[in-house]
Amino acid sequence: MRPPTNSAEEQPMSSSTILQFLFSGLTSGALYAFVALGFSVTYSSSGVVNFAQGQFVMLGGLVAASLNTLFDLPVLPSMLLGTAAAALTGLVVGRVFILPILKLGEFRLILVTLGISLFLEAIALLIWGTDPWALPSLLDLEPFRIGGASLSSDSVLIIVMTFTTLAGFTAFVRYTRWGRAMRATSIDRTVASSLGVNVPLTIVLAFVLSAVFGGVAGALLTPLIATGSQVGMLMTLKGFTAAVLGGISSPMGAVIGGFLLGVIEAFAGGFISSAYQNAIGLAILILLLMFRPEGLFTLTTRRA
Amino acid sequence: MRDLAHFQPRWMSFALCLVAASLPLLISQHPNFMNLAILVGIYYSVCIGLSLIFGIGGQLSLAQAAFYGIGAYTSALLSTKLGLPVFLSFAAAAVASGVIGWVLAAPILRLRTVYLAMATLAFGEILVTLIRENREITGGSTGIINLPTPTLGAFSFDTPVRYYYLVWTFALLAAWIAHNIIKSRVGAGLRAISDSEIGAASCGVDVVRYKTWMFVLGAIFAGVAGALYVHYLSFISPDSYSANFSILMVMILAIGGRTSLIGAFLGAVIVTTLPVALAGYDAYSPLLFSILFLAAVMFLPDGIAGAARSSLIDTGWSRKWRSGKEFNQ
Amino acid sequence: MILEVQEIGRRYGGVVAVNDVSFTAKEGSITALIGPNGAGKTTTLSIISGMTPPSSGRTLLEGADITGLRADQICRRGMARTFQTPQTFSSMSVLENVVVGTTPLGRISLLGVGLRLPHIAQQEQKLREEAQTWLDLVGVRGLSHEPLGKLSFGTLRLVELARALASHPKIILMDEPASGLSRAETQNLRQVLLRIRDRGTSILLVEHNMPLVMSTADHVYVLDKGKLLAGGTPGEVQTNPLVQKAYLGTAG
Repeated sequence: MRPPTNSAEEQPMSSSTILQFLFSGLTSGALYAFVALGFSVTYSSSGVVNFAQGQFVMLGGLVAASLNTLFDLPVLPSMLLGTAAAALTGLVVGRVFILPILKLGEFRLILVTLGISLFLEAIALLIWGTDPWALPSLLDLEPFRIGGASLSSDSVLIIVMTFTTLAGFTAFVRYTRWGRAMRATSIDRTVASSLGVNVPLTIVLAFVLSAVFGGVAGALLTPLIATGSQVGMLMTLKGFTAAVLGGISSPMGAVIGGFLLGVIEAFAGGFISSAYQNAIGLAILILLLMFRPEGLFTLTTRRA
Repeated sequence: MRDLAHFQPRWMSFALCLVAASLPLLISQHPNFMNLAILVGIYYSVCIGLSLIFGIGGQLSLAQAAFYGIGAYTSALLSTKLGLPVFLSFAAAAVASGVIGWVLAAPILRLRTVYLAMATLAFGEILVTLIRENREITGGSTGIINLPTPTLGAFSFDTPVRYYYLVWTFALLAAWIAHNIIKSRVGAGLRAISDSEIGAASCGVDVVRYKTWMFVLGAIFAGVAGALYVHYLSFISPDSYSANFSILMVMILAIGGRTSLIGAFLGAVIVTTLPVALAGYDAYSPLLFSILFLAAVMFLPDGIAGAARSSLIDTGWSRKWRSGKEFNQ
Repeated sequence: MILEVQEIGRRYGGVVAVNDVSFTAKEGSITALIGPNGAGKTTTLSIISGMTPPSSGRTLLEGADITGLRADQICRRGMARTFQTPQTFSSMSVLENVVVGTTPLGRISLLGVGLRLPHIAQQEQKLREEAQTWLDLVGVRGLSHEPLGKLSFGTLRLVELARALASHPKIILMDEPASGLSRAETQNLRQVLLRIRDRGTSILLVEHNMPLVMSTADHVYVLDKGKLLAGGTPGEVQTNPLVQKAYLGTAG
């Protein structure tokens, strides 16, 4: 995913250029934050790193875009239905595929989630083809001009939504029964179960939530950059990088990781070369995994 | 050592070689079949290495595409830009992928499961980007055409039949080497690592060294296979070396059977022939593959070959075979 | 002294699991490490065998410092071990499990094995034959080609022991080998331990089963709350008032 930037050879260094890089970085960072949040939620409650996480982004975006394009549904309902489609997929994935395989161990689980990712991508390919689908802007406002750089309303929306979601999720975990159940499950499944928590249901809920996060991100993203059926894997990699960067067990860390990754990528792409933007993000992942897999912000080593 | 976990009676290996040797006589009239047969040999070679590291060692490495590409590009560039004889380029491909594999192995193999998968995936993608962006050297996205044909003196491998024998000689050689390793103490040590790393270490198994060896060997096999294939096509482009290839290789082992060479072969055959069998419907092949993969991963932990083996494990015949005289290796 | 443990200590944050423990094991003897639950016996064993690094102190094997070496390096130096929960290799047959134990012997050569070079192939064959003899020694005859899945717990323990013997160790560390065994199996274990000792291999045993310890060990050390409480012959230790207090005074 390459937010529109000019590479350094074409533009002199000015504060507006830097600001522009920052804005693109925050926008893609918001996307990564959502995916990372999804990873964090499923990992915390079930120990599963869901290879298919990125596909929820794809689904949210494609369903929303096609409803709008094919049936002239207004943007907001399209986005909501896109998110719902992603949520439904998350439900099926969690209930049908993950729950039964949980006890078979990590190795099988990775392969299963990989299989699900491939399956979703294959279905998307058949339904939507390889071409990108676009959505018009939700708010349809003029882009904001700040310090010589421009920030579209869709960017603002996705950035704001990230924080709103984080706040909402944190409140959910702290104040609602289901949220506390999820928290208990993430600390220790056996203990949670003995305390009366319905652990399987909590895990499915975690998958639904992570799908919602992905779907919302996909829907909000599509006005900015058209979504295609092939974006899933890259989203998974980026989101995973962000999650590792910020610490996969912490939702706040995941969000911070997402923005950090987005901004680093934008600046690296701007100053070095936009072609290498993705590669730089991936290189960050490899370096992180080799030297600091617990992330930059984890204070305690959480139980894996 | 006779053990049903590695059930590969001699007659089966012999039969396989016989089939491999005589196949061209049957199908050389059909160029499509020859192409398929060569592709099966190429995929099989890549999967042999993967089977060692993934099937037996239990490490989900998604780096095959990277080494497949490194070998291919090394050979392509050396033969076109430096005019090196193709067989020498093949050797260079083996060395390049082996060395890079060795350098990558130590840091990467320390990683746990998912992290290893993601890191190797990332490595592959970075490589493809590097290839695409360095047009002057690698030909960029459009690739390089007119790669030379391998020659041994006056003999040129310029027909599909000849290339078929070249590829399958390599594939069977790789299989023989892997088979020897699997049956040896090294193979047992490798399986031990994936069963209980603690137990293996307590027996004196140097876990890092073993994993590195398998990783490097797999890299070398993949690299040579990559070089072989591009010189057959006379064409190379970065598209074939993305994550999809690595995932396809994992699919082969998941469906066919990841702990045995027979499984790798079975998987390679299924994966190459399925799109052809689907004929007009091959838009559906990604879907079909993903369904097969998902089903295999959920229900057949060791693929089709493994399922066949499990059902044999308790038959009277297999017990007789197992306790029979030690066959000399 | 085949094994010397010098002032070994291990702390986890504020908790001291093992505190300044020193003892020795004589060559060709059976040494036992006993103590109430939570005394730090398994941690001590874990430190000696290289699985856990000590916070302080060192371990000497035949006079050479092996502190900080990896588990596989220590095995190659001549110390093998078994585990409280047998760490056997479930995907392989009984014989193959023992063959893995021969890893430190001879040369491990990938090239030799892959290309089936004659002298390597010969070595492999010899070691496989030798593996069978260890199975006979521990009393697991006729099960060589069985997959592990159907074997009893007691048999698994014996397989693990045969595997430990396969590396020709100078000393074997055993973590509660009698736990989970029936009376008959424990009797058999005792015979096996004595057989091993009589062949010249030393044994360091962590164990709860008092009759087994007292009738088998040549020397006993008692650990309590991470510290060494007493050491001596089984008779001496049994009548030691400190030891009795430690066991009787422990609640639960």
